Amino acid sequence: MRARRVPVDDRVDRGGEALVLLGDHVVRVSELGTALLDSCPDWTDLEVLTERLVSRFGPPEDRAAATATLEALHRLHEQGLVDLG
Amino acid sequence: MPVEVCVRGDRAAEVVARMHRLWELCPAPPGAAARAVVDVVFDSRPEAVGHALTEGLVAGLNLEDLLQVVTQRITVAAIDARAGECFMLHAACLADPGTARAAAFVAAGGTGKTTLVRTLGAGRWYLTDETTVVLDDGTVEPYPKPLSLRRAPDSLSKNETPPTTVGLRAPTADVHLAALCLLDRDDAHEGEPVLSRLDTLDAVVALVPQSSHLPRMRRPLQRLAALCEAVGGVHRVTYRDAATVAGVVDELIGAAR
Repeated sequence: MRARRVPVDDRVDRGGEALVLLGDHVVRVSELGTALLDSCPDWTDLEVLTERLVSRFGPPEDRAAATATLEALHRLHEQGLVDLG
Repeated sequence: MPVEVCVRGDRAAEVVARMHRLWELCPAPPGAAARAVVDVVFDSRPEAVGHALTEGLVAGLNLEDLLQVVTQRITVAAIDARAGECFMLHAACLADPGTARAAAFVAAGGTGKTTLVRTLGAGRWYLTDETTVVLDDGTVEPYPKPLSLRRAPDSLSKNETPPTTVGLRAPTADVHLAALCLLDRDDAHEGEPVLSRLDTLDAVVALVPQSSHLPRMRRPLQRLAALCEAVGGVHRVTYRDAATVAGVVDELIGAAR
């Protein structure tokens, strides 16, 4: 499992969060989602992404870190912000 | 933004006569070339009106109804012609004649912009009750269009009204945006208006749906965020009656003169 962020039309960052313009659509991305986007400018393995999130935010309390990363990636994918492969 | 309005039909003269008065504060600069055209047909013959409508023209049998649509079409034509050039916010705008500082009041259609302008515009410069055009340097381009006033409180039909008849006057100098405010009219709200400040991303999220052709601009989100911060952030004002917002407007751009 790996992910890669898609090119966007514009992005503005404040306080770790981001707003992204994709076509006519504006998406607000959480701090964790923004960190994920910044971590996958090119195809990046799930394990690498998980390590980066854990090093920044610490491990999630309620589930495995890889599971949390995968869920976050799927949310970004549904919003059209990352490709999954 | 010169817009040419071409009026035809056996009652065209009635439209032209009203248009001059209604649009008295929006004269085209001498010799300016139109960047958009609105075709209008006002005719006593229903078949002529029907034909014009099938061609996508503005047409009607009732003068007041027609003038309302003409105003809407002029606004849309002007907005479309400037797509990608500048910020065009769905907002009313007033300015202080002494300082030329302007406040834009952003709201969806039918939620208080015209009422605010009509209520608090006297003693200030009237920029618009509909579309606030902001250039890169913060200058606000006036669009002091006719006011569209409801014929009855719950009516969808409106009468076009010359701004000067309700005490409004156009700016006589360049005006700069000094404040951005989201109007949140709430019939259940009691007491004084409540003013709250949005963080930049919340402000941009709120402004995007009230912006015309934003994706056509270069780096629109970054520029919109910069605009919000340049005016000290975006405020939301929650209120019931426009008259109670007077103090907020005083605070944002100064008292009426």
